[in-house]
Amino acid sequence: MNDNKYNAIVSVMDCRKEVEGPLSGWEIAIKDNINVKGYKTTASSKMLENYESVYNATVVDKLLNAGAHLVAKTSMDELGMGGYNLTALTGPVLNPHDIQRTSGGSSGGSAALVAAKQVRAAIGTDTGDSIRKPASYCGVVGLKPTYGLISRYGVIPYAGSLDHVGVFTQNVADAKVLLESLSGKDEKDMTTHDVALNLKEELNLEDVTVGVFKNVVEAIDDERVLAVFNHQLNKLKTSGVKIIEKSMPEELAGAIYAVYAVISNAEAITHHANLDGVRFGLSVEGDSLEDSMKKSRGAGFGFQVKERFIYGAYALDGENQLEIYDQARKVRRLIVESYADMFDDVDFMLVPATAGVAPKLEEIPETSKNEDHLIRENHMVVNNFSGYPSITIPMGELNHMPLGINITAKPFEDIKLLEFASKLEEGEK
Amino acid sequence: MDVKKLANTLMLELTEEEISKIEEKGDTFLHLVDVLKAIDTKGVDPMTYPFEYERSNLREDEESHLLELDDVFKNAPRRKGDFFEIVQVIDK
Repeated sequence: MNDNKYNAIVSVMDCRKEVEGPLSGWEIAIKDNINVKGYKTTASSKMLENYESVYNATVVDKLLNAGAHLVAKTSMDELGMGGYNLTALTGPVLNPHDIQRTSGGSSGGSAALVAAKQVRAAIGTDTGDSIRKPASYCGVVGLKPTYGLISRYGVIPYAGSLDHVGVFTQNVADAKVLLESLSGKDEKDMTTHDVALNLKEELNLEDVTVGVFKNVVEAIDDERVLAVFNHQLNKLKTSGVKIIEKSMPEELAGAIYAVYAVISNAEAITHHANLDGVRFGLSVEGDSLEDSMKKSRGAGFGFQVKERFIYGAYALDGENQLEIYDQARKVRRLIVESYADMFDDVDFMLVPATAGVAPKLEEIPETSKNEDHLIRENHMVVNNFSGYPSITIPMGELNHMPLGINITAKPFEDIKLLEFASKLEEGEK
Repeated sequence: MDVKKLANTLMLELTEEEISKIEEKGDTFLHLVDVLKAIDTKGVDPMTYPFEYERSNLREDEESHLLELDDVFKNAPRRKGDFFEIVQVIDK
């Protein structure tokens, strides 16, 4: 665990209970926005650089009670804000398949450690695609379960209506074991459910209908990525799976990232109002309490966090609250309703998880106004709007770099999703 | 976008360089706002959470999780007895 050649580890842990359980013998890494008592939880922010957790997140208690050995806290984009792990206080995480390239983010450290097989599994969080994108870039399994299936108590939030806790593993079977161990109602998180998962979903591929999210596929301009994806579709067809194209109105698909940008940033500023250097966190002296808070927050946050805070404040400023923030929430509903319609006659929706392999660190794209770019880089956030369970698994390689396929199911059909993913994975061997 | 005013409401000190950079990059965010505004949402209710079924999240009115005082103050930049200490503002 002291081998940090991918810059994925921010602190080393040795945390376990003397209990036997389904996770006995598993070494697991934890994203550094999840509280583990007695260890630092920094969320890769200077603001929390010296913050020591005083309680366990529910997910940590569940891991320990199931016998897991927690061995590392992992690097992430600051406060979960980013897709390439470039904003971490400790610097970018390097992709184990090619250290010139990004791991992806925001759960980059967790993805890289699993890809490097330094741990059996890792815990991450996903507000936009922060588990499923790095999983694609690093060639591992990344599961974002149904919203509320895993408690978020004790997890530093980004945007409460979009935040999920999920897992990275080296295979689908391990993801299922972890989900079974971590899911369940938590009185400390009002968004959790009392829903029992059907643990034995029988799935016959000849009875399965899969939808291909056409708006996304049409926005991807790299024919090589589409060739790898189509190869998977052909294998499914051969196995008897029925495949049909599904789409939503173009103006809604084109607004997916816009909805995310407004809602996530607006929620973020309310969640992080408590980071003011009074009760915890970086504190800078000032002439007054207000002056001290402003200086502390100015010194504690990185540029991208400040930028996103400004956009969030703009969306909530005066009349903008109705004209921008509420408009984003209304468009969210239209997108989710349209997405639900797409599932009317299909069991799963399939897309390439990313529009290409992990980019080189110096070639990471800026957010642009181009509609196709916005769709192909951000489409997976529709599953955060809707809460649908969504998994990325490896689907092939391009120039020796991994590419992932993203599969989504209807809410609470997480086990059925894992069964299907397992059959796809089996076909890859 | 009045970045200085917004930073003030956020209790956030920004450098002049940061303000200029956000003003410059803010153009892309404002484009996204235009994309949203172009969509007809007449009669549509805002969506807050992914699932909207009715349920009760009320729990018994009992203490469920407490922190010891020493834990509460463990990360405090300044502590005075059982209080967080802040900069003196009265009779300074």
